[in-house]
Amino acid sequence: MRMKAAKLKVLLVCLCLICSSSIAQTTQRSLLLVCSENSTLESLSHAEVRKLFLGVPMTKDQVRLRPLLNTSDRLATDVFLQQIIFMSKREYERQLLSRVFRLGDPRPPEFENIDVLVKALLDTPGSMSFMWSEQLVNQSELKSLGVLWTDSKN
Amino acid sequence: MKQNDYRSRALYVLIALASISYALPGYAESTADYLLFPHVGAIFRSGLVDDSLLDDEDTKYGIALFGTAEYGKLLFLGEFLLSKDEQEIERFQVGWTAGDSKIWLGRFHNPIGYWNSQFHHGSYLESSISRPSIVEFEDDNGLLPVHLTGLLIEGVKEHNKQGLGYALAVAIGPELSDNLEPLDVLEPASGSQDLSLTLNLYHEPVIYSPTRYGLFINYTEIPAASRGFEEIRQINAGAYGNWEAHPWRLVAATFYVENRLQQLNGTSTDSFFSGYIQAEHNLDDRWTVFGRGEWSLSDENDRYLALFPHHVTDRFLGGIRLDAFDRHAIKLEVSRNRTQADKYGQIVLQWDAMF
Repeated sequence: MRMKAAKLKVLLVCLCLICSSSIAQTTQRSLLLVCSENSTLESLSHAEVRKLFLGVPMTKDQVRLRPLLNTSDRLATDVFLQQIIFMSKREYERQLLSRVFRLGDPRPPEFENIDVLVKALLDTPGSMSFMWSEQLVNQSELKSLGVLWTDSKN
Repeated sequence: MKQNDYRSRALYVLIALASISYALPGYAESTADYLLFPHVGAIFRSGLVDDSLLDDEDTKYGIALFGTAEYGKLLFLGEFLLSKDEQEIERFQVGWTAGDSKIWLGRFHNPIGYWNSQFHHGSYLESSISRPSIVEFEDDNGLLPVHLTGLLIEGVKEHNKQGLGYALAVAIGPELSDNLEPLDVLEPASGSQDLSLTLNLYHEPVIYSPTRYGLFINYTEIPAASRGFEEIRQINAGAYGNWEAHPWRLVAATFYVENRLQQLNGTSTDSFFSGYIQAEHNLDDRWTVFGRGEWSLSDENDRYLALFPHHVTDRFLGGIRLDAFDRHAIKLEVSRNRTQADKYGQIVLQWDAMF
């Protein structure tokens, strides 16, 4: 009888662990590089993403790439700048201004509204931006070009 | 009348630039960007000699208008300065993007050292109010050719995630009258400027990051008939660095300047060293303190320097910058300055903004 109770406890603990693991997987947050579903682009390395969002003109598969800065979610913007660009918001802005003033390369336009950002991604050939994985689920006309960062706490 | 003609031509150029910038974004492959940099400042000086040409109190105000447009690989860039003392097209460039390089034709900032290739007339981008005197603008008793007109090729190549950058200028430099006078793009036949060549090579430990170290050399033939010289042949060369690790920033450069002054009755050669180091510290997102030292060596009895009696040869300054609101800055700068004619203290309070 005691053996059965012990086995039941072990089973329960295992079940709890499996459940908690699956819950963690469903709530795991990733920051994705996204573009229009119609885009021919397949992927971009982190180094290329950094270069692009620092305002350096880039062409891939004969398409001029257009970075769109998503500022609709402050955490997403901060994570992107810290993990991909390796700069604070202030440093990033200063670097972009320096570049546009020195070399004439236009700054990536900023989008405070996610709907406006999505429309720009659909309307502008070669454009790309970043957003959370759960935001992309609701955007059937967009696709992911890769994971930029994953929240390792979950 | 002449001034009015100049302003009219400047206005036409501005309208043309604005039209290009406005029209191009209608095309899918084009983008444009505009920036306005207004400034208003008050200057207080003390300890001036009795016959000084400087005033105890002065004001300065103006606005730098900047626009850039891109159509495919074609680029346009223009910068116009409207200030209390001058109205001038500072930069006017047409460019072509070729891989990681840019090829420019027009009037541009001479890529000597760091400051002159990094900062232009929008002082909002500088932590300090003043520029180091060795790279001061020609109108403000500058010694070196800061603006050139001609061909500029610049770019940066990636190598093991590091950047190897270059800038090469083959252009027309300034002539020397009251000050150095670069070519006026609106009146190109009005001066007698001559050849200027510049090479700047630099290394970025992490490509496209602000930290960089470099070397440069410039050779310029400066006609100076109105100052009693057939020509002045100038070589300036040196090293520079910009190091950034939040919250610190250090900018430093050294210059060796040699001038061969040619007169009917003979030729003489003088040379001197100049350098500066500026340290900046961000106290938080809003407050920055900074200090700068500038020195000149072997400048006594230099015949070229004697042509610029109000050029600041030595300076120590300290200051504070408050980034208030969105893209507005209030700066206070206190300095001790030495020129050949004066030795004085100066306090400057300035508002800078960017729209």
